[in-house]
Amino acid sequence: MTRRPPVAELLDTSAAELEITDPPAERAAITLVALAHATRDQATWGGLGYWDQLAARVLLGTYRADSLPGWWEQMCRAMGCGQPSLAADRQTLAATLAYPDPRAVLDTLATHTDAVCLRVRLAWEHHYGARQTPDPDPTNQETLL
Amino acid sequence: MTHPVVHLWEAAGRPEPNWQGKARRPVTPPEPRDGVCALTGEPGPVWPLNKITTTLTTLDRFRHRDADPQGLALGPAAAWAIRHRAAMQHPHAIVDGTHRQVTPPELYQALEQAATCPDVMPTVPISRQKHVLPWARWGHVGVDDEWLPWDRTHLDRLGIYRALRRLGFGEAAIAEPTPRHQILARLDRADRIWVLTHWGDLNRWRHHPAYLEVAARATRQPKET
Repeated sequence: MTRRPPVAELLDTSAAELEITDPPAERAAITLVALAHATRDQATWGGLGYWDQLAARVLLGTYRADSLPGWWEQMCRAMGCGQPSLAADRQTLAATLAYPDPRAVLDTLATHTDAVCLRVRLAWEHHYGARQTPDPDPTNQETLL
Repeated sequence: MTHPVVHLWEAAGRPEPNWQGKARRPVTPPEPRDGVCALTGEPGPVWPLNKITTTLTTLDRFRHRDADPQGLALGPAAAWAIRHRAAMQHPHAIVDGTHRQVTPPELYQALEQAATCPDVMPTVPISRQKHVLPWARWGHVGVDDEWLPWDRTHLDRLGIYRALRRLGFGEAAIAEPTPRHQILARLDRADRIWVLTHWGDLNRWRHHPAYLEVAARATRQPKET
């Protein structure tokens, strides 16, 4: 049973693999969506159509909130996100929610929702390897995805 | 400089207007009179507009509509362009100096030439219901309701479009703002990096979908047309 590396490290690996350097606001948006994806209620959220649902809820959160903590609270309500279990992730979350230009991050989340979710998905797949079928064992799923 | 419609007509070999049209009985061509063409402004034999078509009613698009004292009339080039049904339905361009219908690979070559040479003037009907030829403009590409500017930057985007189609992205997938993960997952690492790098280069076209239609027509397999 392996622990997942911190989200920041995971995204760095993926960006290096795809040879992309993101502007800071987009990087903050990708980090937030990655944290929401990592800490969601995994018993409920997963499987077919999950990534479309994630994008829809990220967008809905931007309609309902006008600040980054408000957006995170909306994600907590919509997808059961919570405090990340890794200390590094908790630091990343606190630092990103205090990002100095929240309007730019919210704009990115609202206008490039699909692109941000795609980056998170590619990062996760690069770490865990693309899986064709969802794992039937729920305990495995919790540790893996 | 000659009018672009006259240029197209001469490249087509100065044909008679297609007087027959969709009529089942043989049609006797109407008699011309001497006058000035309302579209091209050239003096010569002309026919009044209602002898040529009854569906083209936006008369203010004819630039020389007041030139002829005997009323609005069109010359042979304009009449040919208006009564050319095939050009309302299929892509046409000047290939090797001849104006004719083109297959998708020929249309791609014509678009390549059109970036540098203004008198190719490819036309790509989309709805198949609109007159495209009569409103020809030098150095532009004709689609339903407008003639699109076409230069080297558009040629670059056309190349990216073709490369994306060869990597497996369909016409609908390319029109979306983000690459589809399902297709992206099938590619190897270098192709994936290339797609993610160049996907945004087509954003200008995604805001103006007529360009995407032109590129789609030029990159289809010939059997699909």
